[in-house]
Amino acid sequence: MQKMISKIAPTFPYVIWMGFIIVILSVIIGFVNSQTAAAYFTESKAIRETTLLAERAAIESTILWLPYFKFLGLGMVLGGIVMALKVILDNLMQAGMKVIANLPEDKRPAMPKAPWYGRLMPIVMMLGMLIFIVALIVSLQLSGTARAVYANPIPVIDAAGTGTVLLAQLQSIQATSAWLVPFKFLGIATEFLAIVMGLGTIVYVLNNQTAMLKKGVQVARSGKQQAAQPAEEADQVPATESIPT
Amino acid sequence: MNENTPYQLKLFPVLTILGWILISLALIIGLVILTPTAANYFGANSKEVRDAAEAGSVLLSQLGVLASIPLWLEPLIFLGVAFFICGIALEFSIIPSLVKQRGDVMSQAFPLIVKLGK
Repeated sequence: MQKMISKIAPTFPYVIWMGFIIVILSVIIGFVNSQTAAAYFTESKAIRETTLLAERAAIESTILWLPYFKFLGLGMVLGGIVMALKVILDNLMQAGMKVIANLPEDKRPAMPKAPWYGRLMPIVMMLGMLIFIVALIVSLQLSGTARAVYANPIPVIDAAGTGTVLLAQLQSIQATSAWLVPFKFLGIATEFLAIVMGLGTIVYVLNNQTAMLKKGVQVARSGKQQAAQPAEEADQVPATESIPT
Repeated sequence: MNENTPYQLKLFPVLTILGWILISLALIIGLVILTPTAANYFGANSKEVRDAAEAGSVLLSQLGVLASIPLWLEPLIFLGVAFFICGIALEFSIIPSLVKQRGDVMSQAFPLIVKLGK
């Protein structure tokens, strides 16, 4: 799984661009919707509520799905950042391994295990993306319901009594929107959590590599001192080999 | 984590957890309070009944909940997002000192490398 993620991670610029394009598309769609709304509100209330049904349906349904589409774009940008962090981490760790490989096998320090949050980071990122996709699917379903509701003249919608399909559809739109708004922010929180985990892992790796370098310098210095004592020279590792370049 | 651990490393997990708690709390409020209230208010009453609700009625109190809670819920969500971003900023702020530490160690290492080359 981790290897597969490491292979996919270098595609992060494409993911970020795709996310950015989605956000730009959202701006354009939002602008078009605003023009529809502007045209809609130039008419009198009676004409709006009885004749301009398609316009009203288009406005109401777009309002329902567009924010989730926009958040999917933002989520892709944040996901791309997480992938970029994964690339940095992989490169840091590979560089560390190359340096360690210069030491004789018996003198190599054990490589520290990747922290749990480092291993979990890509999974958390994908979970965040899943939340955005689920939110978009639910919102598209809601916008379909809104189209069905607003295909009726407003007086008909207002007259819908208890137990009617129209009232049930209206209930579905209002009740679902109530939890869907914080749900999309849960997606943002999940993506941020993945970024926090990635940065935490970078800090961890940098700390550990610096500690290893310090050890390497100490080994090199002790090697120099021992080289000055011919009796002990035989069993010394060429200490300077441990200094990473 | 010991006493020498920089404050940023101590603080960022706290901010992250706080951000997570606030955003999860907002989702729970949406699921537990707003969703059933909206379902009751819009699903069980026609517009005529809703519009005729008088002061002190259940319907009006439901409308009050639906109108007032989102007004503070959204800023609360953004506070959660802000906690996350502050945590990320603290993590970034520690990286320059780590790179400096590495530079110091490298400056100790290079004389040894140069001596080896002679």
